[in-house]
Amino acid sequence: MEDASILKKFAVPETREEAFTLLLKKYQQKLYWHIRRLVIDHDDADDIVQDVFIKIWKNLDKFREDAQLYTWLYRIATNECITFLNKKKQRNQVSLEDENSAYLADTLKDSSHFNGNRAQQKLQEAILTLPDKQRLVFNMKYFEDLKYDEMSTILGTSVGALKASYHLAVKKIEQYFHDTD
Amino acid sequence: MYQRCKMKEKEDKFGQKKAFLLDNETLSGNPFSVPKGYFEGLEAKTLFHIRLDKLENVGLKVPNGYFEQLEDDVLCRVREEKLKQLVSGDGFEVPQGYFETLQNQILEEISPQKPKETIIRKLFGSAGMKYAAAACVLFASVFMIKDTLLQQGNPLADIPEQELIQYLQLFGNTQDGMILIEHANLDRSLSELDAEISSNDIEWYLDNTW
Repeated sequence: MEDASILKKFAVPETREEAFTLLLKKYQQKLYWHIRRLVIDHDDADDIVQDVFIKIWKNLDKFREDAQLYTWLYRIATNECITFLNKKKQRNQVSLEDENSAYLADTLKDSSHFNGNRAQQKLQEAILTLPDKQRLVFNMKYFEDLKYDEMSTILGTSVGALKASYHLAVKKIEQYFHDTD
Repeated sequence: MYQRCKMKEKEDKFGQKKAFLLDNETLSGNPFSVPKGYFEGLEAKTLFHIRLDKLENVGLKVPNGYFEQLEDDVLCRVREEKLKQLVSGDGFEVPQGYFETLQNQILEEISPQKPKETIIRKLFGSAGMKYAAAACVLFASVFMIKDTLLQQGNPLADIPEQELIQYLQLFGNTQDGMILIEHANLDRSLSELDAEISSNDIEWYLDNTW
């Protein structure tokens, strides 16, 4: 179902829950995987995705229709992830200024729901050498195949900066593979 | 010009003047021809092409700095493709049936909560409970009063705690509890309590509750 139709249904109190169920069905997997690749651990992703949908439920009536619904949903999910990662950094006594995502390496190692082969493991390790924001851009482009202008709306960053960030990330990952071969 | 000079040299050396003149005449003519009416249509044709060219430039523009960026973009795509060939997928998994459960969990959370039925338990619903509650109040009160009396050197202070407890267990009733509650205002200090309950009152109470 089209986003516009879901929003119309949501505006009517009688069909509000039905509309939310449709939205949930349409976006739960996309948002889950977006979150999961950022926070690595399934249980953390599960908590965050639930919080995200509760926020969506509470605020969907305030959503301005001049924006794309899915970019708004992604923005909520991304902000939740960033907040979570900052808290995790503080818990692990990692400085917020520290750009490296290596503090998540143990999470990947301990995750019971990561069953990657050698190459997938290596790719994830390489991604974790990137700073959080670069990692975010890489995941959104490489795995989720989002367009730069969509990413720009979600992240509030210029297309040029996003391209530069992605190119750099790909180069670093290629270098990681080269160095660890 | 070069050809002509060359020919002249030949004439000087070998005296072939006639041959030179013949060549010169042939060269001065134009051996090429154009289709009939070519020059009449040329102007219009040229102007048409100029207009077409202008139109093409208007329709197909590229963003500023596009060609500078293009090389980087292509190289990045090549790297990306190589990486995708090397590694497919990300290796992350979810527990079986996770998304079905997730949906239900979220819908459950947003559904309006039914007002929880408040269970009213009657504390003194049964006679046993009444006595137990009274006994608890009495024990607490006895300890409080006894401590005070001990400090004042009251004769009741000599009675062992255990005996007092046994006595109250056997002969106390809910009315005792009420009397003690009335006096045992927890907001007041023990010294205030002492002032209100005299040891004679306690003795009288004990003597008359048989």
